Amino acid sequence: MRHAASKSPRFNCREFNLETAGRLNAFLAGVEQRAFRIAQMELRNRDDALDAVQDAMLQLAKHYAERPEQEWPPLFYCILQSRIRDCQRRRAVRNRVISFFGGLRNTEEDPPDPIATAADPAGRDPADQVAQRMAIQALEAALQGLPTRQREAFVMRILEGLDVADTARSMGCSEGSVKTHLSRAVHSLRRSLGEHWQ
Amino acid sequence: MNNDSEAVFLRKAHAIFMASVGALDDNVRTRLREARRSAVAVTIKPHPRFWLTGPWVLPAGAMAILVVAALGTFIWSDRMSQSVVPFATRHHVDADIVLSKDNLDMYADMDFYRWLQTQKQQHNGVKDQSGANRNG
Repeated sequence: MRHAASKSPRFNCREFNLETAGRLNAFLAGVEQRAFRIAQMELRNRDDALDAVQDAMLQLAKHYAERPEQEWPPLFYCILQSRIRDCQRRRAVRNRVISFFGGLRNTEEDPPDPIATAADPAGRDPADQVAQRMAIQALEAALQGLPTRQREAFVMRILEGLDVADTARSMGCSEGSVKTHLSRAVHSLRRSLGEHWQ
Repeated sequence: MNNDSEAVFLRKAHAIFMASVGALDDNVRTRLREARRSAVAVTIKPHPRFWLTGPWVLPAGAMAILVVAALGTFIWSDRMSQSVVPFATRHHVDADIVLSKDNLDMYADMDFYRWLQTQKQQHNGVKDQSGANRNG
């Protein structure tokens, strides 16, 4: 009892920071890879996707670490989507400037990854790997064809697995809007992907 | 049923996405891990103490500096005024001399009189020695 009473506020703040850091680390470790894939599908560039995820992690830690833990997922993805949009806008402006002065070279998309084309060390069936690669490429292409809000709703609800309320918070819209966007996205994707996945 | 086929479609989309997450290369995983550690480190910085933050810190600090500066100025000016006090008044023996109107000139020559006294003592010392040598 005396020990608890003698604890200074400074010591308690330090404990709180360490505990928060532990929980934040666990949360980010669980989402970082999925967040990267989501950013990569949107941005079509590995380095831009890494920058976006890194920035989102830092912003969450700096400004929202002391929020309740259940608020972290929608906050994190809201920040991530914001960073992705910023990157896309910068890229659009840069492309306009480049095309104005001397034509556009498509340098944003990743060149063929030598590691991806190397032999699989796990020894999986090459046919399965090819099929998997083709399936993800088809999904990415179909998602790129969707309007932004429909794509965000599909990615957050279906790929990431957020519930309707968290998806609405991350997108900054109502739950009804999320359901509408998702319904339209699913309808479009089934139409474009149906023949690949039958 | 349309809902069943839609559920199958959505499960397949999720599975394909998770398979692509599992296929990330080690370089990407390492960079993500480093980014996460940098972000988490931000939350472990020491909590600022209350008395070092707050809107009252700046005015209080400025006031403290002003007080110290005023005190320092007062002490310095006090010492400066002390240093122009005539040497003679620092010794209680010479107070009567200084305060006396008739002897102000003597104050001005105080160092001369001291030197004179020293010369006299030396001269007396030499005379005594020479007298002792003659007798001895």
